[in-house]
Amino acid sequence: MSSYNSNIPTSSQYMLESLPQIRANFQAIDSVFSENHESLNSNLQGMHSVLNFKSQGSDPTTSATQTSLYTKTISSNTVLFYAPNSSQTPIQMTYPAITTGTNNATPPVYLLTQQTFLPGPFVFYSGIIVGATQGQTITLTPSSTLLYVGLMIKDWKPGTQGPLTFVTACATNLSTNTFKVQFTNGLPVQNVSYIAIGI
Amino acid sequence: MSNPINYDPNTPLITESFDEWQENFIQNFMQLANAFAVDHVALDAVSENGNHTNVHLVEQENPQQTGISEISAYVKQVPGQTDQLFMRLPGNGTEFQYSNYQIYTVDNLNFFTFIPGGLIVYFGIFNYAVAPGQGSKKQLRFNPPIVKNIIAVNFTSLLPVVGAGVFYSELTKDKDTNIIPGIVINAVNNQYYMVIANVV
Repeated sequence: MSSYNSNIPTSSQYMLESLPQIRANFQAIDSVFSENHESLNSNLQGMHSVLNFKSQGSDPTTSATQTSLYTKTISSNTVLFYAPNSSQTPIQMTYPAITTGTNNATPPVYLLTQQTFLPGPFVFYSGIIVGATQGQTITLTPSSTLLYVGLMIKDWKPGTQGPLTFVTACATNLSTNTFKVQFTNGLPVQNVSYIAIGI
Repeated sequence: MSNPINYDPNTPLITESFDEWQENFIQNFMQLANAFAVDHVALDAVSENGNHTNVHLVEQENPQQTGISEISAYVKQVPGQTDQLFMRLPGNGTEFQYSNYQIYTVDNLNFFTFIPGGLIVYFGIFNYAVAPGQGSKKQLRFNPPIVKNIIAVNFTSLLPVVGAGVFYSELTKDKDTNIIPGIVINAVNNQYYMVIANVV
């Protein structure tokens, strides 16, 4: 906690009493200023090293020429918001979970299914279902209510249909974070690429 | 930018005269005001003192700490790219790259953008015209060619042509750069496409 005292010096004090208090205030300012900022006396003083957003209890008010970035707690999770000017409806910018990139193996391997988010807030899923079968139920994580699911056959394996017959896959029976894989008839097991958006 | 001369956190000293205190105070107050005015509405502004005007984020080497109810935002250098915006979830949670490759050199049919997590989204229209001898396959190449891993692909026909479906396969890797610049698709007509890929 900062030792900054905004009520010194007082008119009833001797200067020698004020001296350590004033010095303590200058030291406190020096220390507190370096939080989130490049420190005083550095070449970049005043610029930011990081922005740590403390969760706010309510949305900020913004004027016609202001916008605001802040965090707020939604369902026990702290998430980042952007408040447009004139106190328009804030937009959620982050989501409590994200899983992208590689696993922890050596050497690392890119994850077959990945999840990120879009402002709104929307959960954005993408990945590959290896060996998907007709009618198979797919569950995406983290849980959301799916709004959009696009499927695409990868490494097509011909079935009873001829090799020149194009085939498709689609998602049916969307229910919260699950859907069913449906192929045009006659297809054996297929690898299926998916892109899905939930909220 | 202000000129950082001397903010002295250890003033005043008991050995100094009051005149010397005053000089030190003025110096400290001036330096404080100068530093505060960087990225912030100045201390002596008529209104909105303390609000931010801009946020310069100075490059950091490591992930930043976050408390239980905090989110942090900062920039780090990404190999092969420039400095990018990163965030970290509460309680020293997952760190993720928010922004991504910004050099936009696209035509009026092919575009790209980024989504958090070091991902890139290529989208646009794939003009399907197969050269003689290529069979029904044609490569869709990505610009910028920085893909390291394709996660998912989606195509939709521009026209309701019979047999207008499409499938893709055979990720093609450049042997020199070890990046994947495109994919091979089979189609019968022009397609809208969307490709999600890792670039880090």
